[in-house]
Amino acid sequence: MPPGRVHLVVALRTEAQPLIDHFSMLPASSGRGFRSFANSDRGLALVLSGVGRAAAAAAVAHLARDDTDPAWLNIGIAGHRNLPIGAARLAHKVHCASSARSWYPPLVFEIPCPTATVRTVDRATRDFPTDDLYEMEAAGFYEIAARFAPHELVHSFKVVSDNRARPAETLTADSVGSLIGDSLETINALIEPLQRLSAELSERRVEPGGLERLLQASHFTTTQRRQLRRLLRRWSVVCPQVDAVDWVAFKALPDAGSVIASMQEHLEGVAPTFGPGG
Amino acid sequence: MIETIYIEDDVEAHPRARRLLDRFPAARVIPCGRYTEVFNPAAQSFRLQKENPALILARKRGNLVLEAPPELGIGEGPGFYFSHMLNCLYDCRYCFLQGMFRSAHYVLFVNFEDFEAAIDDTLTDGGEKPSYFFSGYDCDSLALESLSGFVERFVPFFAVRPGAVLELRTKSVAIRSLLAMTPSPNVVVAFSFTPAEAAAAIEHGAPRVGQRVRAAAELAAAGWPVGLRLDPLLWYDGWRAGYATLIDGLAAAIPAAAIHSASLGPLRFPSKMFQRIHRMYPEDALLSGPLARRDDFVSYSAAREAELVGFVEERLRRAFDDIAVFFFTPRAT
Ligand code: SF4
Repeated sequence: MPPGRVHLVVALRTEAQPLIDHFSMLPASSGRGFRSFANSDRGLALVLSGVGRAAAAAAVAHLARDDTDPAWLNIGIAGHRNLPIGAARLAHKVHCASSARSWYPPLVFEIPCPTATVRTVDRATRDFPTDDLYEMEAAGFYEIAARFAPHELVHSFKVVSDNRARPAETLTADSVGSLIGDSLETINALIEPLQRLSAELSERRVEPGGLERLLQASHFTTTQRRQLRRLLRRWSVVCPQVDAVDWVAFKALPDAGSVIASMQEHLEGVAPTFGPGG
Repeated sequence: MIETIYIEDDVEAHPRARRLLDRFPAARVIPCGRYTEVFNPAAQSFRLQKENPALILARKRGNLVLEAPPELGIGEGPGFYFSHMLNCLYDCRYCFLQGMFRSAHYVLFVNFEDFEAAIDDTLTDGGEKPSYFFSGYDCDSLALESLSGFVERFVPFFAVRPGAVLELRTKSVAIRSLLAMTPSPNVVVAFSFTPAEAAAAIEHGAPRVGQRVRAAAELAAAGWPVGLRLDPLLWYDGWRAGYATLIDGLAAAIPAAAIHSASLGPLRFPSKMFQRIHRMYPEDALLSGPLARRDDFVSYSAAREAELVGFVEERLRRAFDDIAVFFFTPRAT
């Protein structure tokens, strides 16, 4: 299975530094607009979005040029009326206060921490009127990331940095870094299943075996290419014991049209086999 | 095991919702405005959600009882369907739900009382022939009984409405609540079957065929009318022997007098739905098999369909005297 990929979207360098260090990421040559980091062997990329919904959305779009079915994880700090500093939460609902829209990231894997509603606001708040986590990026992140990946692969993870007893003004760069650094175990436990889901999706899109060789052997129109891809996929399921390229060569089929017609006819005649039932 | 429950703000105080919340005290409970906010967004992965579906508690608003397509008929009267649930515990590879819904979460509409009122309204409008109500259109009627309590509530409701027939369509063997009740002549428990080897490969998570046959036999012995639903009919290596064994097994276990009806349906998918499902499961043998586009459907060739229907119908008629056989295009279960 190809390795799964996870894209991390983080607002500030202070939040990102522990991740960059922990995952041994290096600066990536990512063009203008956003600073990004990556560790390709680990399948991880990170973009610094800056503060706010619009910035988070733009950062997702920036990183989404990569087309390898990545999962998306927004990581950052948030405020809550009474949760203790350092409490880690995965969003089970992302609510945008200004548009009143909500998203519900489906929780299909084992979740390593409690979950909560994350409320994205346009201005930092001190009074936390609802029992939600307050921050400024998740809604912008989610709305755009869910255009590039199924919702199951888009998540937002927050660590409580301030509450009514300890307002945000007391935060320092060091304390923000420590909050994220202290949650690395949980972050790892989130990245793992996300990588598995991303790999599963990529696997379904892998080109079927033999496609390139058959395309080289005859001239296929665009429609015929699509048909051939579909036929080869079916072939690999229905006749896994016969190499399709050898079969086509043995039949000495003269052109693309006859390759497609013959493969279709052959597959039409093969009944699926099911093992003994219960 | 339900780990996540979404609940519409509107049903938070509903007694059926409260009971379910009490039943799963460890579940994370997430409030939502309308269930559609969770269930309908595009770009969800039905396949991934099937790994761990959540429960959504909602209120059904409008269109509670709908006219059933005529091909679903198992009698002469008008047909209707109603869906107290969307989605299913099982994961049959031919199921149209996986192509129709964007989400695999279980939606339970808790306002049973509104369904009952709508059914009564429909009956008031009805003529002399009994009206048929199908409950297993968007779910399996019995599979999540322990959650829904559907049978417990609706079987007694229909039992005192002789002008109506309820069909419970299922692959489940959760028949305890039915066995605890007095059988109703107007409630048909219709079991869906494919031959054992096909079921094992395709009907993921569903009880084995032998278990279903035993459950149907137990209900028949207790006096319940039993339906046999052989759809979709599947073409595979050894299908003749498979169907012969299945029908012989049914005939040995269930007396002909207990059979309300049988119905047969070919394997057919609307073309767009087939594309969606096949894209989701490109490695599946059934979906990669000899299916071709015919008009707006993807199905076996007409000749194969006719061969399947002819063979199975003939075996059924041979096995069960005077059996009523209906033919229709399959949907769920
Ligand atoms: S075909 Fe019926 S039993 Fe199978 S998954 Fe669909 S609804 Fe459930």
